[in-house]
Amino acid sequence: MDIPTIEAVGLTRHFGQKTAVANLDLAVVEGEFFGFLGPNGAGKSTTINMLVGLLRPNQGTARIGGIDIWQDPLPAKRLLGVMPEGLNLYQRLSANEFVRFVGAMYDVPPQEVDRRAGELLDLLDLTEDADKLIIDYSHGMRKKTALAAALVHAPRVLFLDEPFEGIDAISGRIIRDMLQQLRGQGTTIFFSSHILEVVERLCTRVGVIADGRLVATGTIGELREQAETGAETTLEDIFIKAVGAADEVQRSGKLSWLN
Amino acid sequence: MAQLIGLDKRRVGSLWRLKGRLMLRAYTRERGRLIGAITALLFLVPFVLFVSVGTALGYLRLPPPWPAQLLGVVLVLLWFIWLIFPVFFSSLNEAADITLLLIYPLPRRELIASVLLGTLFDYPTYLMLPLLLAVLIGWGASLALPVVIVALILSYAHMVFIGLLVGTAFGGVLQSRRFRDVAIIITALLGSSCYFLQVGLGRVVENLTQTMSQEELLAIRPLPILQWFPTGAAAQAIVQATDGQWISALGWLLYSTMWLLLIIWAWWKLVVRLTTGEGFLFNLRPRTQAKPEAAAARASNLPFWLRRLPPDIAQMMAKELKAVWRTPQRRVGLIQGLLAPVFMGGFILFRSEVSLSSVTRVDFVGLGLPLYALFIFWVTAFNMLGWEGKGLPILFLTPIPRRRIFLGKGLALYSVAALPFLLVGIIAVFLLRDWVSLGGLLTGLISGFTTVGVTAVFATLFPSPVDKESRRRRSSISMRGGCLPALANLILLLPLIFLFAVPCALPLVAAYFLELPWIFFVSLPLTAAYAGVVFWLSCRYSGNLLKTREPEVLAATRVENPG
Repeated sequence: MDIPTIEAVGLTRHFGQKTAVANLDLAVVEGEFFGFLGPNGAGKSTTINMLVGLLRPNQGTARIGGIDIWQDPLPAKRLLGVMPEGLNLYQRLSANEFVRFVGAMYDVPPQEVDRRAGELLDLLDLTEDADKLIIDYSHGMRKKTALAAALVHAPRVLFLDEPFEGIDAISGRIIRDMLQQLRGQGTTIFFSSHILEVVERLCTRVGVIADGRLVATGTIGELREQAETGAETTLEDIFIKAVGAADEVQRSGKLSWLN
Repeated sequence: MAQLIGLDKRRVGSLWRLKGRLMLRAYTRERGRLIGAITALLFLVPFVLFVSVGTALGYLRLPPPWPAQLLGVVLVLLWFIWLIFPVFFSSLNEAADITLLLIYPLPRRELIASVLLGTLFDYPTYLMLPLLLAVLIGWGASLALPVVIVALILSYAHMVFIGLLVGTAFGGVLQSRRFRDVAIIITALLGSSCYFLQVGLGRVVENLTQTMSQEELLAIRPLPILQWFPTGAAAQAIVQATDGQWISALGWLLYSTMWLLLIIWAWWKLVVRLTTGEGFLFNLRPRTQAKPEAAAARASNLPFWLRRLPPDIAQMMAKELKAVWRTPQRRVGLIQGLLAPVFMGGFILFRSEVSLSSVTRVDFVGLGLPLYALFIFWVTAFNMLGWEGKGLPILFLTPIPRRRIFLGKGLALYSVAALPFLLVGIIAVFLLRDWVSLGGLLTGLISGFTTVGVTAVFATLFPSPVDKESRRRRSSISMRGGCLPALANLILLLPLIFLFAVPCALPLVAAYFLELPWIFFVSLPLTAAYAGVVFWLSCRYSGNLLKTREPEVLAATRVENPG
C-alpha cells in the first residue's frame, strides 16, 4: 500500500463557537492530483492552512511525506510549495526579487535560482513586468508570481489555493500544462478550486468538504457511483448533491419577480 | 559567529536585505511619505541634538540632586517613546510582519535573528543615540564608567525589545482596518489640537509655578518613582555608582536586567506562538454580524425621515450618510469642524486678559456663525465625487438622472454638516440669548445650501482622487489630482462660495448695523428661497456637466498606487 504524501487524521479547528473543520481524515498518495472542493466558507482554506503549518489545529495531526508538520515543521516545510489564499507576497518587491528571495529561503543555489526564476517568469509571461513592483500588478499577475515562487524550489508536494481564479485562458492553459508536467515527475498536487471543469479535467481524485466535514472523496467515477447518478452526470451535479445543496439550488433557482 | 549559533548566513542575509529594501521602498514609492520623513528629520535631528546638548550640560552643570533626576526622566521618557513606537510605524515596513515568512522552512532562531537585525533599519532608533551619548559624556568621566556603559547598553536593549514586544503582541490589532481607522482619527486630532495642548500645558506649568513655592518645586524628586521602571533602574545604577555605592548600583543593574529578561521572555513566547500557527496575542474580534433575516429587513427600510423623499434620492442620501460615517478621513473632517469653535474658544480663554464674560458681551459670535457655517459646509461637501472612490464607476453605470445624484449627495452632506453647526449654534444662542446669534444660526443654515451647491459644481469640474486606504488624513485640498484642480479649488472656489453666500447674509448684516432686527426676520423666506434655488440650479448644472464628463471624472479620481 502507498504511504500517503499528505495525511490528515482527525483534523479539527474551531474559531470561537464555530467549528470550521471537524474531524477531517484525508490521505493523498505520491503523484496524485487531488482536487479539494467545497462551497464558500466550507473550510477549504482552513484545512490547507492546517496542512501546511500556518494554522494550528485544535485536534488531530497533519503529515507531509510522513513527517508531522506540527511536531517537526522544518523538514516537512522543505517538501512543500504553497500558494496560500492570501498569496503572501511582499508588495514592494518585484516578481524577480520575490522569486529569488523565496529560492534563497529554500536553499536553492543562487545560479540555479536565477535559471529557474528566469524560466518560470518567462513561461508565466511575466518577463516584461518582472522588475515592476508587485503592488502595481493585476490580480492575475500576482497569482502567477505566487505560483512561480511556490515552484522555484521544485517541491515534492504542492498546495494551491484557488490557482485558476482570475487567470486568463492562455495563462490558465500554460499553468495546467505545467502542473501536469510536475505531476508526471512525481509531484503530489493538492489544490482547491471553484472551477469544476478544471478539476474534472486535471484531478485524479477529488474530495468534497461541506460545513467543515469531508462529505465525499474518490475519483470522479467513484463519486458518480456514490451519488448514484448516470455516466453523463457532470461534476457540478455530483458536487451539488454531495454538499446537500440540491434542494437549495432547486428552490432558489427561480426569481419570483421575473415571472 | 553565525555558524556558531547555527544561523544560515545566506538566508539571514536575504531576510536582512529584504527588510532594508522594503523599508527603503516604503519611502521611495511614495513621495509624500519621503517628504514627510525628511521634514520630520529636519525638525527632529536639530531638536534631538539640542536636547542632547542640553541634557549633557544639565548632567554636568546642574547642582545636585538635579542631574540624577534629569537622568531618570530622560531614560524613562525614551523607554515610553519606544513603547508606543510600533503603533506609529506598524504600517511602514511589511517585512516587520513575520507571519509572511511562516510558510518557509526557516528555523525560529533565524526568524528572530532577522527581526533583531532588522531593528537596525528602524532609523528612529538612531535618534536616541545622541541622548545616550549625552549620558555617557555627563556621567562617564569617573570610576563609574563601566557601570554607565552597561546601563546604557541595557537601556538600548530595553527600548528595542519593548518595541518588539508591543509590535508582536498587538500585531493583529495594528494590521486591522479598524485600528487604521482609529489611528487616522487620533493622528489628525492630535495634530489639530497640538497648539491647544501646548497652550494648555503652558497654562498648567504657569499655574504650578504660581501656586507652589520655590521650596516645594525644588523638593520634587521623580527618580525614587522612576527607578522602578526598567530604564529608571539603569539611571539609578549610574547615580549610585557615581556616588561610590557599588553594591547598590549592581543591585539596580540586576533589577533592570531582570526586567529585560522578562520582556525578552514574553516576546519570545509571543514569537513562538506566532510560529506555531496560533496567531497574534491580541486580535480585534470581527464585528457581530446581524442575522440574515434582520439584515434583509433593514435593507428594505430607509430611516423614517428619508421615506418621504423620492426613492432614488433617499437611497443616495442614505448611502452618502453611511459613507461619511464609515470613512475615517471624513469623520475626522467632521470632528475637526465640530472642535474648531472649541479650539477657538480655548485659544481666547487661555489668553489671560480675556475672560468668558468679555467674550459673551460682544456680538461677533452671532455674526461669526455664518462664516463658521461656510467653513464646515465647504469642508464636508468638498470633492464629493472624489470621495466615492471605487464606487464611482458603479454609480455612473446606473441610469439615475445625474442631477439627482447631486441632489441626494448634496442633501446628505448638508445634513451631515448641519448637525455640528446646529450644535454649536444652539449653544451660542442659549448662552448669549440675543437675536444676533439666532440670526447667525439661521443665516448659517440657509447659506449652507449655496455652499454645498457651489461645491458640487467644483466637484464635477475639478475632482481629485482620494486614497481611502491611506493611514494619513489627507488635507481637504490635495495635490494628488494635479496642480489645476488644487489651484482652482484654492483660488476660485472659496471666493465663489463667499459670493453666493453674500445675499443670504445681507439681511443679517443690514439688520445688525441699522439695529432693525425685523429686517432680518422678514427677509428670511426670501433668503431661504434664494438658497434653495441656488442649490437646485447647482445640482442641475452639475448633473448636466457630469453627463459630458463622466470618463474624465473617473480618470481624475482614480487612485494610482494606493498605499
